[in-house]
Amino acid sequence: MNDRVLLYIKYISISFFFFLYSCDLTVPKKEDLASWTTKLEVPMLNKSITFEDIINDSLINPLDETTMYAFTKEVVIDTVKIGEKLEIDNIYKTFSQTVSDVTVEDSQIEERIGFDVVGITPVNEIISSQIGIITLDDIPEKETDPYTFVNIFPEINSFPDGTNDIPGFTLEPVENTFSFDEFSSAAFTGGTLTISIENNLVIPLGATDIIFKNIDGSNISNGTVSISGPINEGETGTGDLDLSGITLPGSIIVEVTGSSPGANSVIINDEARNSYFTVNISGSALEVSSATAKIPVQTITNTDSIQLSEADSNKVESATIQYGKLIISIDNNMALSSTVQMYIPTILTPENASFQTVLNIPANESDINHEVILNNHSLVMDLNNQSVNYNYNVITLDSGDDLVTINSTDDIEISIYIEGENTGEEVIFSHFTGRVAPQNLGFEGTIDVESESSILEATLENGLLEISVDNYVNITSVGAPTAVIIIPELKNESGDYFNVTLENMSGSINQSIDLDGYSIIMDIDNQYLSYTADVTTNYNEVGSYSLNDSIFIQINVTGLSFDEVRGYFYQDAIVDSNTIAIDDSTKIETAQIKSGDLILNIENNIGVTADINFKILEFLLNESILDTTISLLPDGDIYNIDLAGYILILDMQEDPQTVNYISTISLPSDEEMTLSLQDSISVNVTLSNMLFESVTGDIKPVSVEIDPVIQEIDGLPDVIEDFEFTDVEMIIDFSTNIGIPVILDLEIEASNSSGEVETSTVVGWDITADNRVVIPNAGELINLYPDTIRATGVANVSGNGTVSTSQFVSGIMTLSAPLKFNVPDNTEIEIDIEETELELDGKLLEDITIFFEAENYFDFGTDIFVYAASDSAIFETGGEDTLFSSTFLSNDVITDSLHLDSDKISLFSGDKIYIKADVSISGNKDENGNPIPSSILTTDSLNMTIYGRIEVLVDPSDDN
Amino acid sequence: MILKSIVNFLLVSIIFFIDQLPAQTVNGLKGGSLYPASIGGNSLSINPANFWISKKSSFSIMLPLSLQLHNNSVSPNWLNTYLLSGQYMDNETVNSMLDEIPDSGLLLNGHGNIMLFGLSYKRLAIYVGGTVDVYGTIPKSLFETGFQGIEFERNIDLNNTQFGFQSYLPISFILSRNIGNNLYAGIGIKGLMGIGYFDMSGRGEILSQSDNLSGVGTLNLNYSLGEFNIVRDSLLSYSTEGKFSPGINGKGYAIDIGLTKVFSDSWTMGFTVQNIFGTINWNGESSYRQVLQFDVELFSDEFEEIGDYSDSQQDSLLEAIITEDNVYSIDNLKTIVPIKIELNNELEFGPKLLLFNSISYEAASDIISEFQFELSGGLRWLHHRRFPVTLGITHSSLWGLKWGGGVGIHLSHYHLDILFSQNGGFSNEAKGFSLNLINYIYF
Repeated sequence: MNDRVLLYIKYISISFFFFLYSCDLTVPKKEDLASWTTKLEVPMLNKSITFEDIINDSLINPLDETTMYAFTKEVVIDTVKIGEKLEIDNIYKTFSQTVSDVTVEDSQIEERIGFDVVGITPVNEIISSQIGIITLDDIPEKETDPYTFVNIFPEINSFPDGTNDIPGFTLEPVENTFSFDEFSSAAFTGGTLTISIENNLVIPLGATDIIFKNIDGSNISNGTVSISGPINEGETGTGDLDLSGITLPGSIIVEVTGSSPGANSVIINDEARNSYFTVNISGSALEVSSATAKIPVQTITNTDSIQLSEADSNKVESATIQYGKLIISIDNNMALSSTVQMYIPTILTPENASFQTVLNIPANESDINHEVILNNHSLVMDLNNQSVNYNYNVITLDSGDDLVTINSTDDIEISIYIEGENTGEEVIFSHFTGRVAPQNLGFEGTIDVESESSILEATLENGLLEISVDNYVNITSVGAPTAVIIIPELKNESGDYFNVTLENMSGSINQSIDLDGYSIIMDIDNQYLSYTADVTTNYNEVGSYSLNDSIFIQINVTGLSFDEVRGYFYQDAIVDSNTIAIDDSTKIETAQIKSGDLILNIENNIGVTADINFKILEFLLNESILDTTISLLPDGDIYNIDLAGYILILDMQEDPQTVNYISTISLPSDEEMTLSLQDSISVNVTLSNMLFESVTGDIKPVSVEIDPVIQEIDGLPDVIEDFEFTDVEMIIDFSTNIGIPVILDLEIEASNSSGEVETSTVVGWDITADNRVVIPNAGELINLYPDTIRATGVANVSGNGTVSTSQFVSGIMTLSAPLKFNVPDNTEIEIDIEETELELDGKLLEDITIFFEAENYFDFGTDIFVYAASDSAIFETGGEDTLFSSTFLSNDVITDSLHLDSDKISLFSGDKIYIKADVSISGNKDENGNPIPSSILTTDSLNMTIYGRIEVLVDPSDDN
Repeated sequence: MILKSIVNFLLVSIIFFIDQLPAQTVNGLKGGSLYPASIGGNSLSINPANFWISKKSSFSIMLPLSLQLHNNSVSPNWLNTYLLSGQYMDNETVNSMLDEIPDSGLLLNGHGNIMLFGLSYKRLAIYVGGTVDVYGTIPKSLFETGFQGIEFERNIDLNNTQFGFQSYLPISFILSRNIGNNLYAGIGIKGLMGIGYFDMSGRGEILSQSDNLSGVGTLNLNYSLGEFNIVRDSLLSYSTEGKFSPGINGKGYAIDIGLTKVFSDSWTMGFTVQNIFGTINWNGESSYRQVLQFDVELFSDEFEEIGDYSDSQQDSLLEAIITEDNVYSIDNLKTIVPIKIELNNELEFGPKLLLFNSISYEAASDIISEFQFELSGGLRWLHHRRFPVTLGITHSSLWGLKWGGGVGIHLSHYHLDILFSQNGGFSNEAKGFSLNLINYIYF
């Protein structure tokens, strides 16, 4: 067997394993089917016997709310209604109503005024400053080339070496060139050149002249200096040259002429022959009108002022500039760079320092502009000298080694502009002390007279016109403006219009004007007060002004009231309200009025023609309050309002209760009229003949007579005539729809044919609190075995609730006597023969069990016999079979069963089974065997149940 | 000869086991499993993600079948011991027999799945299936009445009476792909073609007493069975019209989503949520509702009188008892295809052993009013690579223990797996079985 075959075998084996574990369900055969017995329970008899099955009498019924049986009798008490007994007394009320004041709303206006712009006309000045005489630095001493002995005395060459006597001689003119380092040319206006000869010759010199020549050999005018001699060897002779008027070039020839006195015993040799002298030149206090030279620092100083425009009305003592600027424009016509130091003491910086500025000016530079914003700077000047003072220094810079050509007429041109924010505009001030050009700050406007009417003319009874000024411009009264305010619509008793003058308004000013006695006269289309204010400044006074602040002027018109007003009145209806007290012992919550009148007697004392709307909130008709409108005649009238059908609703918490009316006078708006606001309309209100259909509230007592009720009593069963009722209950169930307490006084009288009378009374019984009136001593009334019972009484209705004329009181008197009685022995209770559908087939049924269950809840014993027969006729023959027989005691339960096998079942074979039960009862007895009454309860019963349990064999294998 | 035997065996298997266990392999132990490898799931479970994993070829055809029948009480042993014992059953035996039926009644369930045609190609797959669900409850009181009779004061409880049936064809279009890192995802959009629907529920009780018989009850029927419908002729008198025509009597849709993670060559885990939004709206012209209500109280003396009633009196009595008896045509019959959530796990131990387990939840539906929670586990053994043997065990919250196994043959282009399982017990104690068969052809 190879592996493949082995594998297949394994596989099949595993598969087979699964089949082995599949279900082992036997294919059923007929004989495999199981059999069993099932049950069927069938009712056969179900019976419950109560007292009604023993005694059946219509007057003996279960007693309500108890388990007792009782003798009962009902007597109807006729219905009695309250009738028309609900009314209140007439009510009177008088009141007066004035036309509402014509009111004017308080008005207030506020004017804000400020000064016009205060400034000065822009000014400027152009200043030209020449540099003038120029001072040069001193020329340090400088020597020329040497002048040798042999040059000034050529004959010396002929002298032998050795000691010789040198005769006096005239110096041969000798020249050397000399250059000035400090200038290349200079036209001196002052200064001195110091020229000295330092004699290093071996002989002395006599008087010598030093002659300055131009390079071309021509003499320089006035350029000669003489130095007196002798100038011994080794000594120096000096002479000064006044340079005024001398013009020197930068290089000159210095010629020396003169003489020598000679000398003896002079050792002549070459050294002697070459001995020399030099000319030393220095300068000091040099001033030139023009030169090309090294220019040291030069200073130009100028002090001046710029006059403000004479046309300016504003005169400044001190003023803070709000918008302004200073422009310094410079043209430097010099070949020297300079520094301009500008001081303007009239202008103070915000730090309160004099204005100054330093400007660096390049050489030969034009249109140098320097702009300074002067906002918040101040101008300080004399009122009588309206000028801006300034001074400046122009300091040229040292040219150093540069030679600069300059002339004393060279100048620097400085332009100073003081102007406003923009070119040509005024300098504007924010604060100003001085004299301000006169300004008219006047204003005008209107004060609305807001009212619900159009007032043409009105006499003021009260009113106040308040003017308050808050001047934040003028700090002091000096120079403060004065205002004159006029209101033409306000006129005093003299017919003059209102005006008021406020002098020198400064700081806070309050002024009140009492308008009592004034009149307002207005046009119908212009319901306002117009005011005009003339406000002027005082130019003659020097004041201080905060020009960016304002003057606030408030005009308040308050508390206007009038004695009399002529005009058109659009005001809302004039509403007045008042109350009418209802002084009645009945406190009404709601009342349906059956009849009644509301009478209004109106006297019109102000002569106005108007409609009066009259509302009383407490009277409602169809859920709407009483709301009527009367056209008021000038002489008044009497008006009558029928209140029938209205509902009166009052507040129970009030004492006395009131009705609240609202009277509304509506003035015609399209008629001009004059109202005297001091008079009134008188209204007399009368509520009369008030009669109610119904009233809810705290009702005053109403008495209702209950008609006498006489009821014949009969029908007491004969079987109880020997009994004496012990627990008799006589009650009257009253029925009433009166919603308030009904207090009943009642008398019940029972009488019989023997003339015996028993009476029972009930006093003060509130039948609304408890409508069941229990008649006391009912047993005595009933044990009289009365023929008639008579009931009379009165019901008093009062209290908090609802009463209507249709409300009633009625009642049913119920007599109830619980029963206890003797039960005769062996009283038979007839029970019908019961037919069952049970068909007993002994072949089919295995067995039957018949169950009997009985419960005796009576107060007496019972005997029960249960019979069965296959035909009802058998019961007549006595051939029936007894299924059960039992004797019960009171409250006993018995169960029993009867088993029938198939043989016994066959005894009942037939279509049906009939069941009959015989029940007999026997009353209780005392220890002596005497009957004693038994109590019968509605819950008492004798219950019997008979049912059969049939067991049936279910055998599917049995074809039968 | 041996080959012939195998073929015969397979043919017999196909005849016997006409349904399919939702587990398959392509090669080896689990290669290309389309369905979670659990045994005996009570409904077909398809993880859309597995279409991609199973894509060992570019084209495949699937023909799986499954059938399940369950109850919660009756087993062959129960039948053999009692009803088919051929013996007389005394009261004790009858009581013992009835005790095995729970108080909630006898539950019956049938479930069938068939994939009429399945086709996959690259990322796309399509399959057409068929599903039948049958579920019913027979009140225990009816058994008690049949075997113990009618006794006074013993209530015949008709509550929990219900029967339901729903059949539909799912047509699913599936897109699956590898989304990286050996994680596969799939989503299927299913059109649900309703074939037939029927549900019946009853409530009420009947009580016999020594002096009367009382009862109250309601019977509600909803169905959509094509041309078949019940016509009420008169009170408690009905006739039928038409025949049940298995056509498209309702339409709906559902969504399946699935994720499968291949952690390694030996460990694969899948998660699927099926029948999302699954509902079927049944055609208005074929949907009906029938309501029957009764309320009766007859005393014993009345029974006697009823026997003498004329026909008109009996009709009046019946009208008094039957408080409602109506058949309606309805156009809003909408039923649920319950959502199913499943997490399954496969572990491979060497080339011959695969362990698998799963946990699943299936929501309640209009047919089965209780949710089902299942734990399942098992193994597959390949002694030979062509012949897998599978064993498994499942516990269902509704049907209890289920166990089973099966064999298969995996050829080069054809796979066949046949599995059988029992539930509620072993062998003759079992109270139900399932048969599963899968055919799988790929190229």
